[in-house]
Amino acid sequence: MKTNAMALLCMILFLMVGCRQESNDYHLIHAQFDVPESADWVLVINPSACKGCLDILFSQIYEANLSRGALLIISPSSKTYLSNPHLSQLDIPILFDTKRFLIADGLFDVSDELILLKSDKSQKFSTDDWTSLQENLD
Amino acid sequence: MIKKISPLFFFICFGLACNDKEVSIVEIILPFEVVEKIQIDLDSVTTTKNIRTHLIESDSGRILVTMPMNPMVMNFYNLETGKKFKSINFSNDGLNRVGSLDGFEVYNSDTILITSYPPMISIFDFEGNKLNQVKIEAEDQYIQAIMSNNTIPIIRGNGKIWGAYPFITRFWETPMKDASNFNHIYEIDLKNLSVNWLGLNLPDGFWAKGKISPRFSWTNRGDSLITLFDEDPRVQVFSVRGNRILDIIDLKTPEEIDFIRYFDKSTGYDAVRKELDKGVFRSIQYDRYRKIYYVFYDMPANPELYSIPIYELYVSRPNFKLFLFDQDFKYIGESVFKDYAADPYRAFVGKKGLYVPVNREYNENYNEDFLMYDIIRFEGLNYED
Repeated sequence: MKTNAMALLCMILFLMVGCRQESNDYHLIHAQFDVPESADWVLVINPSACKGCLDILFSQIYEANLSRGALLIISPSSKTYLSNPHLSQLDIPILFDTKRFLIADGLFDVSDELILLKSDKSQKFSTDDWTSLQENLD
Repeated sequence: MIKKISPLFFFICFGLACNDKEVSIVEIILPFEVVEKIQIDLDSVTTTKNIRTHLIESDSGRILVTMPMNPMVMNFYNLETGKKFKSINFSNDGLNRVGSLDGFEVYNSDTILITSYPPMISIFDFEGNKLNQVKIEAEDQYIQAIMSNNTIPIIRGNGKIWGAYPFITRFWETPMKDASNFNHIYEIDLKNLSVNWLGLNLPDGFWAKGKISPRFSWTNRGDSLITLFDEDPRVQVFSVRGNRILDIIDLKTPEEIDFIRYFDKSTGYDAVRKELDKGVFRSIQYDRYRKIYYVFYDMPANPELYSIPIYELYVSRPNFKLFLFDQDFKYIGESVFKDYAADPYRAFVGKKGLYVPVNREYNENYNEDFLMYDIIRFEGLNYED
């Protein structure tokens, strides 16, 4: 009985720590990258997938007419993305982590592809899983 | 009788053994000096990554022609001033449309050749007008893409050009015994735009010990074309006039360079991880002023040491060696460039020395607003000025 209670307490603590960590990421990124207050979510894109997969993702983002979030791309080259025909027409802001702090500081793993940050949670997605990602945007 | 023959037999055996023994090559680190630094301002949309750079030298100065990955344009820079003086814009629409840009070659003062996807060479004038085009097709295999970049530029001849297709399109499906059945050089007669494939095939038994990439880089020596496989330390000397391979030479370096060979299809993360444990030859450049070869060799990369996506690391490795070989492909020496200090794909040769791009993505000092080159000279080579 005592063991069960301890286990339950540990689980609750674990969950609390986990939730706080995700929340911290969201606020940290908001502050560090000047994400507008109006953005309910930030989609962090680590371009680790193939170029063709990324092009498809960008066209899907464009066609979804998103309005309440922001994109944060981890790349030393912002020009490559800003001149993308789909990204250049988006209504939401596109920000860049050109020094790749998010990976260097260990906030994200180099193998992560997409991370959707909201004030209460963060979720990982693969670049080719648009259906799951879209359900959580806007 | 036996006693008389034995010493002779011994000496013959000893002689044969000595002949078979590989002579080891001592590593020589070649010092170099930077004789000029070039910095070119880029506009807000032009990327530092170029599909191709082409240096044009004349008595009136040096012009660097570039084709960036973004946007669809060719830029002309005066290297004496570092300023852009001309651009040619391209489009996927309209009368002068081209496909997805894959490179170029300035053919002469009137003509530029553009390679694009789907595989096509378009002939443009300097005002951006498309004069003609030729589709690149072959009978022995489907041609997927052609290019003219710094590792396999289009080579100019008298009224003719030569391009490389260093691929086997259906790589995994092709039986190992058929590796040498394909032609890898196309020739275009610019008078009638006819396409003819020349007999540069992979060497016999190229896949005898397992499949390996047929990719090669090449350079023009004047009298012949020199190819170097990405994953096989052999160069082929090819005569376009004679339409035949004149020689195949093993490149000998101090370290033994080997590559992975495959008997079964291998793709995805595990394949990339294994490939990163091995190096890869990226480019060979002939320096006609010093009569030597530069060979750029990307060194193995451990993905656990770099916070860079593994697929990116696979195509853009942090460290490379620059080997120097003489006219006969004898090792002269080498230099090492580390931590994305320079770009092995886009270096080129000029009268002053070797132009090495030094503003590379992932280097800690990378700045996407400039093109930067160091002109380097190696100790022991002859430079005219």
